[in-house]
Amino acid sequence: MSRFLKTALAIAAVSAIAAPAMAQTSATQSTTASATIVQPITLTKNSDLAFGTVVKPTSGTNTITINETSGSRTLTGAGDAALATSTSSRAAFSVGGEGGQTFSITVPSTATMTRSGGSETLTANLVKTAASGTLSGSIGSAGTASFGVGGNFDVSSTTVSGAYSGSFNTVVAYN
Amino acid sequence: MAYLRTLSVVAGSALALACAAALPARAESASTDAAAHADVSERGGIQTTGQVIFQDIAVVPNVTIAPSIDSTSNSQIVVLGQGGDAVSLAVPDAIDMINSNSGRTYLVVTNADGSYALPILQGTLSSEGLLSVTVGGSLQIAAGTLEPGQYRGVMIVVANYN
Repeated sequence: MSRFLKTALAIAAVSAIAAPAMAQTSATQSTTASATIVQPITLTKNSDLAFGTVVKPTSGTNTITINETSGSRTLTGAGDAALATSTSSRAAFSVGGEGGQTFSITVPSTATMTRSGGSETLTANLVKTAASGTLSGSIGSAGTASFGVGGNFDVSSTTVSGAYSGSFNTVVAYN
Repeated sequence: MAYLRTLSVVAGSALALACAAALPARAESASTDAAAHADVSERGGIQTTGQVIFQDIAVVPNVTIAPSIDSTSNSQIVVLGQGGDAVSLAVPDAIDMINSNSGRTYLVVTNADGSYALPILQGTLSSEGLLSVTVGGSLQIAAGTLEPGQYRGVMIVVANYN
């Protein structure tokens, strides 16, 4: 037996001894891959928060409120202010996105309104109809929702008359 | 293995770039700005200075009285409110003066000056505005029908913001 043949036989012998120790030569496991694709969420402003025209009191303080749900305007407080005939509205928003999905609504607690032509400010407390919402329909189709923002601010005899305006940012996000 | 490491690094970089590009879009949230505004007006009011006063009319038997007598003192009506704002001002066209003793009445036809036709409160926004209107009147008396006495009437003027 040549030297080469002896080496080959030795390798074969080792292989023959090792093979019986392998219980199985392969194994499988099934894994699920999943993904949910949803439409991007959109937010559209339909109307601004308009308190209208308020005649300031000669004494005392009054609070002017725009209801966040109905948009109605009311006057409270011990002053003798008056609501002049004018257009008022709550801020109204429409939300679009994937049906059936819930989302959060973020609105700042206050909005600062500055007098046109001046530096005086009025602080409006903002009130939203809900902290969260659910888009209509079910997943796989487009859904819509809506919500509103109202608010209130105080006016006194020392409030400088004029046109006040400001802005606030509203954010909606999928939960 | 060196080749595989290179591929892995390149793939990782591509993923990072993709994420960086996608972040600004963030389709899971949306935001918008809304305006908040309010108009605050000065308190409105009406002040009256003076009254519409007619001159004394002497009743002399068998003397014909002038058919029309204008007031010798006009009423100054001042409307207060938001400067620059237009108001609706209503002055009655006529009022009755009555003799409290006899109950006899006379009709006074009123008249007002030019400010009444263009009721704008003079002044700037954020300050109190004024509108002054002068109101007088004329009295028609038929000859020989005047009853002696003092006659008084009330004129109600209404101002509203438009």
